[in-house]
Amino acid sequence: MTEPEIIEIRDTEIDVQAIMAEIREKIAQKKREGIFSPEVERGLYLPLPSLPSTIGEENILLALSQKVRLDIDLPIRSHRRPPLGPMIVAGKKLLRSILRWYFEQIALQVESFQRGVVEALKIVVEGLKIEKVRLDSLEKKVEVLRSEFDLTLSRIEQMEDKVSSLAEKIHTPLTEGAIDYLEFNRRYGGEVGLLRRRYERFLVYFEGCRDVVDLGCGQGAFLELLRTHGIPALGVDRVEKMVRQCRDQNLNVVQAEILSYLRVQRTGSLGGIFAAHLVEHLTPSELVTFIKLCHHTLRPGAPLVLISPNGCSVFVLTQAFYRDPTHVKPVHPETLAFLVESQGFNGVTIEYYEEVPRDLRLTETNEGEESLRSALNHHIGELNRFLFGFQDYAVVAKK
Amino acid sequence: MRWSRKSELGIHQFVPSFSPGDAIGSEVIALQRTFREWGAVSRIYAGNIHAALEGRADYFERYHSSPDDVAIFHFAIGSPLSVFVEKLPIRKVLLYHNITPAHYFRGHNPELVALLERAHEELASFRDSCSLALADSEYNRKDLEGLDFPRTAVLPILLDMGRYQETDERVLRAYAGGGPRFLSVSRIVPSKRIEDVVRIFYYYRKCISSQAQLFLVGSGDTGGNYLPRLKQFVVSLGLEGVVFTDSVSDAVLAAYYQLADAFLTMSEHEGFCMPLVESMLFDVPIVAYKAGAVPYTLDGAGILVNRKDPAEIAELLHVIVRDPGLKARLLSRQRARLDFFRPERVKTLLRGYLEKLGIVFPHPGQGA
Repeated sequence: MTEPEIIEIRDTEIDVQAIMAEIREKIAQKKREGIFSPEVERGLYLPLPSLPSTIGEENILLALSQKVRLDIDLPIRSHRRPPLGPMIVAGKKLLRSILRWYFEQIALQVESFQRGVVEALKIVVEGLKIEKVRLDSLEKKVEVLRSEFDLTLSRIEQMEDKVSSLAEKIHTPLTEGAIDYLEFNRRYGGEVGLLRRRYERFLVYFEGCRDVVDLGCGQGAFLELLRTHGIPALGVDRVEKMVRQCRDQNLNVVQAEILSYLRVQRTGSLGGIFAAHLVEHLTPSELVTFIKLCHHTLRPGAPLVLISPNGCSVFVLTQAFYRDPTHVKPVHPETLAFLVESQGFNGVTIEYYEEVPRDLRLTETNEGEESLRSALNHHIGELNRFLFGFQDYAVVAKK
Repeated sequence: MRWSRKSELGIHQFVPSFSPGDAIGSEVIALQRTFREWGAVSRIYAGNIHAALEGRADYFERYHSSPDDVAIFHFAIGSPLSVFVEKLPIRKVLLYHNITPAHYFRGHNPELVALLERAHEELASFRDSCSLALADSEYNRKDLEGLDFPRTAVLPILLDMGRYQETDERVLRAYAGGGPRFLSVSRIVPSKRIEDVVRIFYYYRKCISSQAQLFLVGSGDTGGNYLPRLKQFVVSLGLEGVVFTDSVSDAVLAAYYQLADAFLTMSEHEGFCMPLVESMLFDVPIVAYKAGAVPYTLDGAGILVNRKDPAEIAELLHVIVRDPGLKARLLSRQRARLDFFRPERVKTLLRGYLEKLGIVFPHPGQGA
């Protein structure tokens, strides 16, 4: 799903995309010309400044300092009239002077407690002031982070736009894991015995080799041949069912993506590479990477055999190649040979093999006049090559 | 049972704060005029009354209910008025204007945070006690539905068209000439994200026209320290051409709308957004961030912004300024949308809702 455009205008006569394209081009131009400079861009994401503020600590301390001292000399009055009133006042004053020593002790204790409270509050206020400064600075940092985050987010959004529009353009091939590829291969790829017979011709290149790998080994036809001839080899395939079937036959196989497998091999560690019907599953850029990795991982002099359906045969294209939904595109024999050679391989040759059964091909005629028959048969031969060319080819090379 | 008397039907409005210039205050006055036109007795009761409106409303404690009265309660914030109205032994109609999320005011205005936080609880207390809950946008109505209010409907804000008849010539003269002029009208509070408007304008001044002007119309009274921070922000950018007007009279507001080449809002929370309708009324092209009720109020008019990219939005404003064809198309859709908010239409809608509740008005309404 693609992200909506930055703006929405519900009016079919207004072309939003054209407007935004023009706007983006203008911004890009202003960037190139230095009008929309990095300084301006920084300004766009400056955070809202914090304002200095206090916690009103002066007022708190002032209020506390006024209430520390206790006054025990409160005025003594009487609401009664003379002579009783003055007598009561005099009596109370006498009583106060007698008990003064006692009240003074209590007042001193209360004052001492209050001073302690004030001191404690001063410490709390100081602590609060420190915390306030810390909080202000944290707030500033958060604002800066927020603006950086906004900037990053907007960049990511722009990149996402680009990625999603690119993703639509990229053809995503179907992987073998999406279908039952083992069953598909059994039905349409030929049974293992037949494949063994077809691959026998390539054994000669691997004689005396060790550390041979069969990349995309499938049901293990070539691995079996290698084992029979005492050539140590390892199979690699990414389809789990294929790997399991090979292991059932005690073949030495690992499950891995081919390119990932090659990337982790040491330089010059492989004694030979055989890959049948693999290259047509790769995108062009993967194919180039694959051949580079083959060259990187093979020992000097080690053989490379790459087999693929012959796309030059119409019969192969229609009856084999396009039947397999996991195929990306046919690889022309000469293209593959060129890529192998240009990566530094030597003695590169193309071997075509496996003819289309004779009964499917156009047959030559024995009838008619010699010159007419000869011309007709010549054309039939040409047509047979074009329509019913060899089913497979192999590019053979040495590092 | 009919619960109105033809001779003395009382429909009274209750509003936490009655202030001039804000959307709710203006609607309260327009509704009062309407109820009186329809022959009802109609008074306004409030918790706070702005000095400029002294005499036009009473403090709510002075209200004494009569059994046939109807209370119209404007709800947007928590207040002691909620409990008072909820307990009144008369029929109540809630007019819900949405509640701004409290988090926008944290660090700016702690008292307001407390009021906003308790607002949802107070709103829910009206679920069973009000006869009808009206919302000024579909966006707000969905809020009520989410709180399980059984009877809800949409009533767009009733515009008081008379407000804009006069224009302050001094403002027009002061800003005549010069570069393009952009306008943002709202309370200066954090949820309106006015710093984003400033950022867009900053790009415009730096990269498009150093003559451009930005009018930020609205009061910062409820925003705590947001307005000082915003002003500091403008200073720290070294940005000229920004005018903070504070709260303005209707005539001054009309002048700013007349001056504006485009209306811009980057607000992240709106329950209705009255300035959008005002922009339609004054033929000012709208560029608005898609949040809250904004897409409902615009309903296809103006330009909605999905992502805040200051550079792209500023360039978009420039396209509007220099492309009369685009501007004309935008305005044509805005005019069509304005029809939806025609006072006659809203009044008919309101009268219909109230009559369904059994309220019979002594006088016929326009078009009713």
